[in-house]
Amino acid sequence: MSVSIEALLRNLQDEDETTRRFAAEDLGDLRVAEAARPLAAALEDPSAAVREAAAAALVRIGGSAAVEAVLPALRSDSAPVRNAACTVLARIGPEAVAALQRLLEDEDKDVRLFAVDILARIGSPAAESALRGALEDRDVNVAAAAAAALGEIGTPAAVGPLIRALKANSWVRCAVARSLGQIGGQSAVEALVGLTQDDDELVAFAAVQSLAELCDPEASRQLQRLAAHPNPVLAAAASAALERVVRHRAIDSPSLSVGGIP
Amino acid sequence: MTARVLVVDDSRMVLDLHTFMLQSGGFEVHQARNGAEALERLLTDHYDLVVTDINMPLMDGYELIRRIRALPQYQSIPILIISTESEAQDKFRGFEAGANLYVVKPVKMQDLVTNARMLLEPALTAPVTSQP
Repeated sequence: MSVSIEALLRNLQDEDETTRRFAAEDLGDLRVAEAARPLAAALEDPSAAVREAAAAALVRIGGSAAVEAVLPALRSDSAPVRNAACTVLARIGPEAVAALQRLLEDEDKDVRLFAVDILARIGSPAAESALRGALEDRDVNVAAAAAAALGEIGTPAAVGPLIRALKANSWVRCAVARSLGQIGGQSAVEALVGLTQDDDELVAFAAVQSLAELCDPEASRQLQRLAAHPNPVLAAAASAALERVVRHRAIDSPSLSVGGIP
Repeated sequence: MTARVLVVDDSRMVLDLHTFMLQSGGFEVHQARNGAEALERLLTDHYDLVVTDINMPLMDGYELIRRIRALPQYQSIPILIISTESEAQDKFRGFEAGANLYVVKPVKMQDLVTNARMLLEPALTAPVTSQP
């Protein structure tokens, strides 16, 4: 028995939860673009099963119809609705990037932050390119989130833009330090060694943590200096990082003495 | 005795930076990556202060705070929210859930340490009791 699209759209408003869920599933299976907005509204349905079916249907429909229908939900007062919208857009993937890039210019910093988070989850080359632009966002949390996202994606091409973002405030510098540690490479190590001399202890700490991950012997001298820092927490982190660098070097070159620091 | 602080955030970076700040201020700090992990830690160990994010997967900070407040041993534990959400309604929801203080990210080291010390002053956080 075939059911018309109109009937399915009506069923999406039915009082019975199962009827609404089946309608959402069918509209998704049929990839009915005109159902995108009613399905986006169903992300606020009182039933979790209907909300999940609506989200899955929107992902199946995909394309600009689903993307544009879901975008307003990012401004919902309800955190679960906003989270559902983020998940749908992330699962739609590269087709959502252009709209998300537009959101990076939004007046509302929370919306820009959501856009950054979703772009990070998509992680495509276009998403990464958009995230590089967000490093210069006027809001420190958005810029820091973009820096963190680039580290998660981990493409070496992001190192240059990340280093340029080191002029920003200390919170962004911390995020950059962490991301440089995730990406690695010679330029990243050099920048991190420089950051260990940052006036802000928090930034120096973030750099030390990343250098500990990278285990690059070039960092030894700065780590040794920080191991005598008056802040005992920073000094302990630097000592631990230094130990790790030395141990790593000893594993790489077994003939070297573990106790010897270059 | 050193005060024990539980820091809850789904971002590894934020978790580590807030931990560094509080340790530098002399606190013993433990970490949880989400609300469920935080509740587990609170039930197996004793803590003097909770510092939590709001936007976290699985269980948001509001729900975490409500559940903490439902535990008899933590009805009066000071709870500090540190969130990127800066709207008045977000702060209202935080206080309504049971938080003692709401701070917008990013927080400076001195501010976090000062706020943590302030919240640990018993006179500021003890429940008000009626006089006989």
